[in-house]
Amino acid sequence: MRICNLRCTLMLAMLAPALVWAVPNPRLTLPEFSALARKATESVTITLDSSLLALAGRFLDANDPQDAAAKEVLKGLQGIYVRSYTFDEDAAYRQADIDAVRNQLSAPGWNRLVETRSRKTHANVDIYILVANNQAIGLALIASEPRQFTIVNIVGAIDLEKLHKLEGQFGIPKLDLDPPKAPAPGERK
Amino acid sequence: MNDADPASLDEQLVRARSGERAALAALIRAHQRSVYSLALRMLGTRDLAEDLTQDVFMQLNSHVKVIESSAHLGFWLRQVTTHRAIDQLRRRSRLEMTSLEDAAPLFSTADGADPLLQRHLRALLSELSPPARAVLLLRYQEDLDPTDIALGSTSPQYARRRARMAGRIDMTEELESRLRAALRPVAPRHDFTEELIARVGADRHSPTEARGSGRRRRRAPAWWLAGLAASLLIVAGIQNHLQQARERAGGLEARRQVIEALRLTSQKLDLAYETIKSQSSSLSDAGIAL
Repeated sequence: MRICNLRCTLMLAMLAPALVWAVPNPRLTLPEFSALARKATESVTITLDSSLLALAGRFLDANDPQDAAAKEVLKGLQGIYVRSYTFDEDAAYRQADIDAVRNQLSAPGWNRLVETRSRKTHANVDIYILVANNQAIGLALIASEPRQFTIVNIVGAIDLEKLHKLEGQFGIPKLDLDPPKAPAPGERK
Repeated sequence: MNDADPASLDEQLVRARSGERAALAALIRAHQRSVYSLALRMLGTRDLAEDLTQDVFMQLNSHVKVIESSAHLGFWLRQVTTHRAIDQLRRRSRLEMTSLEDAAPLFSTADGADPLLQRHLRALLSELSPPARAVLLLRYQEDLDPTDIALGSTSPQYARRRARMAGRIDMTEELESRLRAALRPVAPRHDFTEELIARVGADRHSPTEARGSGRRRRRAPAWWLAGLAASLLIVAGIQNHLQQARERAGGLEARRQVIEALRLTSQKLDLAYETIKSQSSSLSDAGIAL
């Protein structure tokens, strides 16, 4: 009996790191991109942790539609991190820079929600979502174009419905996030 | 120190000690010329003399119960006036020199006072040290003999020194009489007496307030503390204001970044949407894919 207890304890001790490892960190490790920032004609670096988000929330005007929508989205969020660079020539950045971030999204738990590739504009957009306990706790967006790339990492309980409600406020198009309705009996598909 | 009847003054003093305001006013009227003249000739300016006179009578107001007789009152007033004037002159000498040449009329102009003598007196008084000036005034304005002058001293050494100084004054009788005439007490301005009585009376009827110059000395720390408290409040207010300004600036910047992040996110979602729309035959298929 004592040997069994010892074995169980050892197994739990060995499994504990694995259990922790099983839930990936919704916050990505974003490179500094300092070399790219020097080459870029326009760069945006946003690092907002939970305290700054709370502070920003206090200064969002509930009477302003845009601010009100943003305030609604911020509820439950723990961080927003953005890196965006615009260049005045093509291929100013290396694909490897983006791949370093993309590789983090191959960890278990991250699911690719949207993947678009445009042959016409050469614009690629990948949207990943990290789900834990049936709740989106992280979102990553990687958009790359010949002269621009953008990485957005949102950490926290993301309500896609609220993000969906941002439509029109920031120029977000109306994406049909609602599940498709079952056809009515007799209705032709 | 005054020409009033000593018996009458004693009676007024008794009534003043019992708190009768009119009696105190009578004492003030009886002695104010002498006190004012002493103060004026010691300090040299009318304003300072009026302030000192007021201080002396304020102090009398709070010490009247210890005054035993009209003679004691005259002695007490001379002593307080000369000591306060000497203190003021010593304090002032560290800061500035006051020329008696420019001062207000110091001397009596009655009985055809000699202008030449007045000029000599000005020069004499301006050259004398404050204690010597006090001795000369007590000798010829108050008509005290050297012994009485010495009695007004605070220490035996100083008393002996005063007596020696008073004894050394050696003038002809004619010059002394002219000096006494020139040093007769001068009257303060007409309004001053009534103002003085009103102020002393007001002070007497507000026992909770500090009296006399002591009031200024005791109030000074209060004003100083009030000033300090006000300064601290102002500093705290400024710090609070700066803190709020910093917080506001930080909050507005965080808000700007949130809006910018959401704008960029929406822009990229739009890009994805446009790509999907161009490649898919229907939006519903994209919805299914989502």
